[in-house]
Amino acid sequence: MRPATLLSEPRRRLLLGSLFAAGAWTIGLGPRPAHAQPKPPQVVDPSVPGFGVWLRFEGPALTLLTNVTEMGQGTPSLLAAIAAEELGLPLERIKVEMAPIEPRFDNPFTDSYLTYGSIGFRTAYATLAPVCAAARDMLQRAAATRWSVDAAECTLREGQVTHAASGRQLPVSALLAEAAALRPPEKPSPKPHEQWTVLGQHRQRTDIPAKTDGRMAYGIDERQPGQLHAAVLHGPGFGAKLAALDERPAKAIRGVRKIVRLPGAVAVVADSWWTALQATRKLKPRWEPGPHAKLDSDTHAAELRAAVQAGRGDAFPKRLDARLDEAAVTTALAAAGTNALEQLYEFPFLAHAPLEPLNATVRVDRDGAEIWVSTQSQSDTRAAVAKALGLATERVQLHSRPCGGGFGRRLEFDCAVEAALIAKAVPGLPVKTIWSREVDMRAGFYRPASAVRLRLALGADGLPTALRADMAGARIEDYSGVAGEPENDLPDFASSMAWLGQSYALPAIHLAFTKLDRGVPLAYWRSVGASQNTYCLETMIDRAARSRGDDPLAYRRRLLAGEGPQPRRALALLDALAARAGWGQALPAGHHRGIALFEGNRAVAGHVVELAVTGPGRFKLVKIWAAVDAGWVGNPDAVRAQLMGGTVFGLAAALYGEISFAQGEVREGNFDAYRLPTMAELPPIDLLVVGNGERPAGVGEEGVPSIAPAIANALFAVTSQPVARLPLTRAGWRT
Amino acid sequence: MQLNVNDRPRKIAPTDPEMPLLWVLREQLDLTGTKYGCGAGICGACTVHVDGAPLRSCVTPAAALAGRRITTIEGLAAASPQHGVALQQAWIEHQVPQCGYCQSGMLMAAAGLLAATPQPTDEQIDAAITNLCRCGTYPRVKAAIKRAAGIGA
Repeated sequence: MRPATLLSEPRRRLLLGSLFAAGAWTIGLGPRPAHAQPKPPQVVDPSVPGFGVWLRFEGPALTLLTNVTEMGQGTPSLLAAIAAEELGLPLERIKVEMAPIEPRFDNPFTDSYLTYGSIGFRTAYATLAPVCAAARDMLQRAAATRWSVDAAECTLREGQVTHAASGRQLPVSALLAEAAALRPPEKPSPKPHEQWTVLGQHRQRTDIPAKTDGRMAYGIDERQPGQLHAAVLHGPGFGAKLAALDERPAKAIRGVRKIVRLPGAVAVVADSWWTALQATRKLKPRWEPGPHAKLDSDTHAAELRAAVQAGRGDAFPKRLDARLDEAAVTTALAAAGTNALEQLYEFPFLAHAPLEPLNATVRVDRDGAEIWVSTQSQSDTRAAVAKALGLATERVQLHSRPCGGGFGRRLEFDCAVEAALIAKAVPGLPVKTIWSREVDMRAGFYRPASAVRLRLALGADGLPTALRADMAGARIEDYSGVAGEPENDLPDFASSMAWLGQSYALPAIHLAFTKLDRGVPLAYWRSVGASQNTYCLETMIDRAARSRGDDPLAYRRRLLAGEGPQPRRALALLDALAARAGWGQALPAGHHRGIALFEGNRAVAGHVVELAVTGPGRFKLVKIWAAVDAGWVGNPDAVRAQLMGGTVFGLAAALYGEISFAQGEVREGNFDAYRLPTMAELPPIDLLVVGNGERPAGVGEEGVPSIAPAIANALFAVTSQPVARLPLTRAGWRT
Repeated sequence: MQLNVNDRPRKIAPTDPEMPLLWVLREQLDLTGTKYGCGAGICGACTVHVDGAPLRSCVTPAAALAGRRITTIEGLAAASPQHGVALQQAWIEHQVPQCGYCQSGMLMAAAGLLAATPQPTDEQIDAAITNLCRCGTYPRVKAAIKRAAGIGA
């Protein structure tokens, strides 16, 4: 059972430690010492007969229950392939269904429902493959008993159990009752990866046809009998309180049913959402400003710079990575003298901006509440809504819907809680609350802004002897609804990402973090801290290479010359990417290239960018090469899609992405100011997917971090001036 | 008031004359395949056809469209048995959608393009498809349009 608190122990482990035993390195942290490795949870209980909770056989058909949200990544389709692989069932007989929100269906690696952190396939495989392998074993034993033969001689294929030697055969459905009466094996054995025939193959995703003819129903498409619609107005900035309100101008509009006053918001409930929206625009509430009403982006950037210059941040504990050694770093930096490179980097707040604006439909009545919502965090959202309504969690029923984009924003339940409080004011009637694009964009829960002062000491051979990163910003875990009270000695979770557990030869590292919190709510944003730190590391590596006249690829190859499977794997991906892009070939006049690498979530990824400088401060992207080593590839086409999507996501942030503040208010409200690239702005993107690991790796976030530094490195090749600020428009570069 | 939507006359309850077509489609006619993304005519998730040409329904009052032929994603295959169906098939073949939220608008914009320009160049595709996709499906959108138009890919 889940403890009452949202911050349960195993989930903290997921955030802060390695996801599985041996050899894992998460997007943030390196492999932990063996004694600290959590064991993978037991997913099959050999003491209880039956197939367990995840599989529901009905005649020849199988329904898989899952806690993974479909949000564009296609993981649910992949689950069907896992079952088809293990059970020898035709894919078309397997259906995947969202499990009811109950603790027994929690992801055993997180003790909750969470679709994030590139864990979908990894945890689903680790859960479902043994469950299906156990079911296969039970079906084999049931057949063996029936036929008095050896279970090992009974095979499952095309929905049939066959004993080849005697030519006997039965459909799986005929053996279900006998198999379900058996005890599962102590140690189920999923098929060896080398014997996969379903997984690893190109398969069409099952969700796609409904996404081509308007049938796919997202949260925003919910339609309950008698449903009303709500639009909201939030106070300026964060933490403003409603002080006074004249409801009359809104109430005068036909179709307006109710004005709901919340502490930091006003909602209008109406017959139509558009009517409700118009009514919010007639309201001129008076707000009591919040504690950070004067927040200004330039001032905030200046204080972040000052903080990293002061260099008095909290150090990251040595237990995270054996290379963390402040004294050694200080000595090496002093010894390097003029061979130490230094750069101050600046990064803005970023919005996730999923195309489906946040919304939730809620009905509250005497017995409890029901909520229909597109979410990445079903169990936390349900608990938070229950808490806000003063109900026991069991009295809130949550219906999970596919997400029109998530990227981390739908891990947060701020909109769902607000929608619940609005619905509570109209008891018995379902109310669909939709945040307008502007409300959604300005509601916070951003990727943190940060400054990083990076120093890299080089030895006589030109290779790094030490790296020191002084970082400043606010902490996601102080705001996010995803459990994440970090261990006490960890100054900030996101700031650890992409520095530790890397394959590069970086003998000594010192990381320090200064917390500077100005009240802007923060959230996990696709690839989290790696979206900043990879930029710093990879652009600094190019500076180190070019300071000696080395080729950036050749220099990286030297940094990856270490022993062991991890550097070998990173080097292999780097070489494959470089070969694919034809790195080193002569380029047309005015064309330049940059390369960058990223490691995390057991994956290795990288980008090569070719661009042409078209004028002062102007460039044109000519071509992008993207590559990922996904460990085990569940569906190559789906991995390519994620790599492509991650690349475009990272590109949007690199070129334009910025949420800025003036007088405490977010300037950007819609896509005119928070720009996303259009088709015309994209160059051709070449995608390379390899599977060169010993287990599945993440692929959802891994395409994001290295695109921005690859562009910056190409621009550095042009001007020899480091690009130290994102978005590129802030560094004087436009496409 | 009456609207012609997907070749059917549909009665619309009297509403605010300013109410955009998008909300009439979604709330009154239950045609939720047309999406709200920005409400400002920028992202294109709300794209429908009016008399065969793409139009952003979030900024077009429904009252202005009486007597016009409105097609939504739900009616695309029937209204456009050649290009519309070929596009939907190419969308599946190329596995274009990720989250899928913008794809109704993408398909309507693409069908409008092919109706006007059956063999578009890359530049014409770039100029016609100004829709935003946060998942980054653009390269596959382009490939699928070319496939549906029978020009390679």
